[in-house]
Amino acid sequence: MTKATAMQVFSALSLYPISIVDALNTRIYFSEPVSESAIHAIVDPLGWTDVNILIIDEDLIDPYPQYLNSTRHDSLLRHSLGTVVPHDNLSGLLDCDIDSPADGEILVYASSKWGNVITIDSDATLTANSDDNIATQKAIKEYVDVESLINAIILRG
Amino acid sequence: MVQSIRTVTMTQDPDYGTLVLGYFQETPFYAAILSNPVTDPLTTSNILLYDPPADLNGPDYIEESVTASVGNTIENDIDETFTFVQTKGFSFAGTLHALVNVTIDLDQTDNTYGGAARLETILVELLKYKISDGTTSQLGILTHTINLDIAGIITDAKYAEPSLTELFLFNVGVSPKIDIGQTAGYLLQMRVKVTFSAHTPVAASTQTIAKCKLNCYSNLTKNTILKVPIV
Repeated sequence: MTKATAMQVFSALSLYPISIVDALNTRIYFSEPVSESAIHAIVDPLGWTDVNILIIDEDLIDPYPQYLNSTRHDSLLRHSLGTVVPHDNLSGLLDCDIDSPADGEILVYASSKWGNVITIDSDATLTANSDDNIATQKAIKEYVDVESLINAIILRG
Repeated sequence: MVQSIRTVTMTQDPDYGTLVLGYFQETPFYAAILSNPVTDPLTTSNILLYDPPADLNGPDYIEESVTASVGNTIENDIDETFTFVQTKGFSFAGTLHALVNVTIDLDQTDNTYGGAARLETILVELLKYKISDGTTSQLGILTHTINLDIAGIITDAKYAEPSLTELFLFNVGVSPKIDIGQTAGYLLQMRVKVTFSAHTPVAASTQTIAKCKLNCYSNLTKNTILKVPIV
C-alpha cells in the first residue's frame, strides 16, 4: 500500500486536535489526548499502520531524568514547592474535600473523604447546639461545673 | 592515518585470471564548512575534512528556505560541492559510501489549515577536480527520491524539524584505482544537491515557509560523510 503524504494524513485528521504529522519518522503529534483506535481507523487505510501517536509535551521521554531525584530536591530551601518542584494542590487530592480552611477547624473522615466540616467550639454555654461543633475540654468542664452547681442548689432546695 | 575500518579484501583483477589479496582502509571524509575559506589550490569554504577535530567556528549546516504562496507548492534546493583540499596523495577503489544528513523544517504555517514541507530528492555526485585548469570529471552520480514530508500546524518548533540520513553507494571499480593529490593533479569532490518544497493549502491565509539544512561536521551528531576505501 502506498503511504499517504503527511499533508494528506493531516487533512484526514482535521477533526482531531492535531499539530504535526511527521512522515520521516511516521509520527503524529496531537495537542490533546486522543483515542488511538479512532486515529488508527483513519490512518491505517492511508498506509500509516506503524504510526507512533504522541501527545506534545506529555508522551515524550524526559531527556534529563537525572535532575529529578530526591538527592537534588531534598530541601524546600533549595527548590520551593510550586515553583521549581510541582506538587498537587489540596483541592486536587481525590480523597480530600477541604474548603477554605480556618482557625479552629479539624478534619473528619466522612463519606469517603477527609473534610474540614467540624469546628472546635470553646463556648461554655454550648449554645450552638450543633453536630458540626466539638466542645473543648475546658468548655465542657465549665458547662458541667455550672450545671452541677445549679442541680445541687435545686436538689438541696 | 587513523584506521577506522581495516579489512582484508580479496577480489579478481580485471582479466578475471588472478585473485588479488590486499588491504584497504575505509576512511571517512567529513563535509565541513570553514569560517575562513581556503584559497589554494582552489577557493572554497566547503571542504571534505579528514581527521577531526574540525574548524568548529564554522557553521553547522547549510540552510535554504522557500515560501509557498496560498494554494501553491514551491521548490528550492541546496546545491553545494565539498572538496578534499589536502594535496597529499592517496588512491581509492571499490565502493564509496556517501552518507548525507538533512533536516527538513516546517518553519511557518497557517494556524488552522496548516502547511507542509517536503524533502523531494537528494543527489550526490563524485567528481575529480583537475588542479591545473579547474575542470571536473565525473566519477559517479546518484539521485534518490525521498518524497517524505512533514505537515501540520506549528505549535512547538522542536517537533517540526526531523532529520534523516540517506546512504549512497558508488562503485568506482577496482582497476584502475583512482589517484588523488598534488602529484596526480586531482582533488576529490562530493557535490550534494537537496531539493525540497513548501506547500500551502488553498484555504489557508498564511504562507508556508519550509527550510532545509544540509548538516555538516561541526554539528557532531548530524554529519554528512563520504567514506572512501583507500588502497
